[in-house]
Amino acid sequence: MQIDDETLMALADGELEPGRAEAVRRAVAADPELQRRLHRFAETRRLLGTLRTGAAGEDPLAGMIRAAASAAPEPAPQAAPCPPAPAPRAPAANLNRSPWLALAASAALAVLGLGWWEWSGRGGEGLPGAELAALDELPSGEVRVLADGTEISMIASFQLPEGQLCREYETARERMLRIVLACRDAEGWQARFAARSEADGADYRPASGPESIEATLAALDAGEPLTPEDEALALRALAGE
Amino acid sequence: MDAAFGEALIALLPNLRRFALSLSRRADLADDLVQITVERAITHAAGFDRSARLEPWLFRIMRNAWIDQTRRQRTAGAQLDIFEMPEALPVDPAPALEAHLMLQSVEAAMATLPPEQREVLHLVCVEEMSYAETAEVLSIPVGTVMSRLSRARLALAGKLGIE
Repeated sequence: MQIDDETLMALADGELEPGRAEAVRRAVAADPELQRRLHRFAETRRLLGTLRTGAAGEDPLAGMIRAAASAAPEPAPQAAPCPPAPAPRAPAANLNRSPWLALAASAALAVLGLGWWEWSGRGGEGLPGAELAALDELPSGEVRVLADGTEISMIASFQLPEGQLCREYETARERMLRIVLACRDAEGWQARFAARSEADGADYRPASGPESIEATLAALDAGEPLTPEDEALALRALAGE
Repeated sequence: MDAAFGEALIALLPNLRRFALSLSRRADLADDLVQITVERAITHAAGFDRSARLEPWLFRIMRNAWIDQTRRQRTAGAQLDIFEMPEALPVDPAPALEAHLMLQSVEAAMATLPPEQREVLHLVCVEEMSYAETAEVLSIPVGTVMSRLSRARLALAGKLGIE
């Protein structure tokens, strides 16, 4: 039986479909020359497998990845003990904050001079139409590129105790980054919180402590992010309004 | 990027370090390559199909980053895939570093192979990628993976004295 090298190799690598593998195995069993040729492939595979050594200790990059993945850092303890600190929000079920935002909490972006500043966006701040459309339909965790090149990333949806839907999202265009919390009322979507930043940090102004999106969500008693299923239900309900 | 994706990425860091070393054969270049790959993976996490395996996706990012870097280092306007013309890749002489890294004869033997054979050997036999996944990482047909891999295995067997 004529069997080429690639077939023998595929047998050694478990890449032959079962019927073919069985036939080749029978042929090899009956032929010492085939056994010798197969051995070269099986043995090189085995030897190379020994290079698959485990890591000694944790990789130096692991910390950086965790910082980017941990979406909602615990609120820093306030110096003034007077107002009871909002209860730290538990790890989010469906919070899709993007790496650059999460990284803002770490030293990595401080080097870039990333500065956040407040944007007096409370009540009636007009949101661009394309963002309104995304608010109505874009599921959390998804990104959409708008006609003007702005990239909008939906982060999470929340339901207020009285049933109002709020959504957190980020936009990025060139060097300008924005994070917005919009809530839906009778007149449509209203920005309840917005902050923006320029990556070059020319206009650096430190974010004032309590006026963070976390604090806004806590003040609104927003609770946990909705699960993807609950969010889909809420968005369908909106569409049916 | 969510925490689960982050942990999956962390779990694959040893695999990324191995492949980076296999591609670049220099510890400093490999470190840079892993860093770039992780940054790109975080940036593009939303574009990763969660039903797919993470390894091939990461290896592909890494290999593209390596090709980018290598192209940038080469001044002449070469348009050819460097992996198709291994003689154009300077072999790093640094014998002390090589000796330190190539602790085993298998590694030493592998290092003598042309880059396009080395990467296919590494992906299939060290990282245990399937032929199909390897073809995807390297952007070549499965048939090419098999012919390249078969040649590489026989060359390696010869160098290691496997009859």
